[in-house]
Amino acid sequence: MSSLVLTLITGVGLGALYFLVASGLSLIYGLMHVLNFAHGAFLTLAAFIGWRTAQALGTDSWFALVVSVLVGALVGAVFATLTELLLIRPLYERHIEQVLVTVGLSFAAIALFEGIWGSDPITIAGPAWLKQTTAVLGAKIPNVYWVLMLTAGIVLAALVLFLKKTRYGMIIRAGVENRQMVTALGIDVRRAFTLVFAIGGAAAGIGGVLAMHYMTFVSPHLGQTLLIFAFIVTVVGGLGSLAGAAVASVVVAVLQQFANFYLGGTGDFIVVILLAVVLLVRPRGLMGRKVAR
Amino acid sequence: MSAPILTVEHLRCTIAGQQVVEDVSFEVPATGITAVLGRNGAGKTSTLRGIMGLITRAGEVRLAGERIDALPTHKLVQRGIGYVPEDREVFASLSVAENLALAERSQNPRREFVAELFPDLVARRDQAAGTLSGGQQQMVSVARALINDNQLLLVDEPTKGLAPKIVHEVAVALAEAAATVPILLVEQNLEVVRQLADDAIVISAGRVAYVGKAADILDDEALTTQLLGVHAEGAQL
Repeated sequence: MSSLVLTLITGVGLGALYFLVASGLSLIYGLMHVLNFAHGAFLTLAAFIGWRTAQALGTDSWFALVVSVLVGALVGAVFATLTELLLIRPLYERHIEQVLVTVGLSFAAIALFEGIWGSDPITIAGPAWLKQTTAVLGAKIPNVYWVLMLTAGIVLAALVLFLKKTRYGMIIRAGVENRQMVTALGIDVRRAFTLVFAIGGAAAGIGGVLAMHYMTFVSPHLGQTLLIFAFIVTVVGGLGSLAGAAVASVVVAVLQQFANFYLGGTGDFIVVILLAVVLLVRPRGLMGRKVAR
Repeated sequence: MSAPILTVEHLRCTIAGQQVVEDVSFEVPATGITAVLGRNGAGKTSTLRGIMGLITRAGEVRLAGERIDALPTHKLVQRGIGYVPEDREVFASLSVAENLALAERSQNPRREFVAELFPDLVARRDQAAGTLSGGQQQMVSVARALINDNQLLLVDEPTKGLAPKIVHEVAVALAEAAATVPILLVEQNLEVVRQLADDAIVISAGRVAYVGKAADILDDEALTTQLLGVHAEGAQL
């Protein structure tokens, strides 16, 4: 029973981390049809800067953790905004070139991070509570999972409020359905592009700092590792669907944890099988819809 | 005679490299409804989309004498062109109210005018647009264009696929709208054209084949048969 609970809750916690990365990817693709392979770079830079920030403030304090998360969000947002303005926008409607430039940026960013911080993982420290556990129905749940779930919940609620209650949120929802019609209503949809990149970068930045605490290290390849699963989540959930990304994050991560625990460490394999099944049976994902271009 | 609100000269449009409008020139008067007619695939919708900058285009387009063909679509709309696309293209997951709010550009949107024209939409303001009937979606689409003070409306097949009763309602709404703004109307239903349009432009194989009074072409059986492939008595193209 306890192992079942442990696997389930850690699966949901891991899903929360996937969601932080995948939410931005999904919104960016939904609105702009850009597969952003540089998303992992946003995450990694945010993690490194968050780590340095926490070091400057005292790694074991909650204050340092909160500030490093906020700094991570800011770094992710700025990096993503600059990427959209300088690299994506000049290649408007040239989707192959956009994909290539984001792939190139991700490689260049990793090389740059290795040059600055070295290629080896750097062990990090945080508040002692994160390394402790909380007992639930006999299962000892590492506390970092609660932080992941709480943060993802806050980010999801903030994104939903933004999308539902603001004009730009409305523009983004409409643009995901039919971008051309949004412009035909007199709206400069490119501003929404930049905003979506900034929001996605911020969420990835938060994810980067928390991923660092989850893994207890930071490395130039931190983002790439998570990006693969975030892409799977995005496709399974339905490209462009925030709700789909949220549901798929939990489904993928829980499945992955159960397979790792009960099927001899086959979690990654099972997730790829799930991806293949979704692509074959329901190519638009669990909650994606057909879109007009 | 007043200056035309829209002047199109040598408009050529391509979609994915294929020429869909060969060479179209015409003027739209500053009042009333001008119908764009033609057989299926003649290039009517592409002409409207070309004017809107929604497909690749070349040639000159002037709105009230000012060149607008170099402007991106959103700026062109901000200059005062309202667009009602073929197939409605409402935002299905957004409510009726959100669809209309998204279209509002001016400080004083004409909400009362739209509410009077389409009272059904007021009652359904919180309903997701994707769950509306085809006729109601068409009302949302037309309302989005009418909610702003525009210099010109481009309306593409507003009665397509609608029940006769709804066709009548849409035609009445367009007639009322035409009292406040000139309309360039692509329409297949010749009965609606007869009811609404003052002038007509016939496009054939991507070129203008006729310009004149709508009544003249609709009353000329030989001409309608030649240019539109049908008789005009209540016919649909």
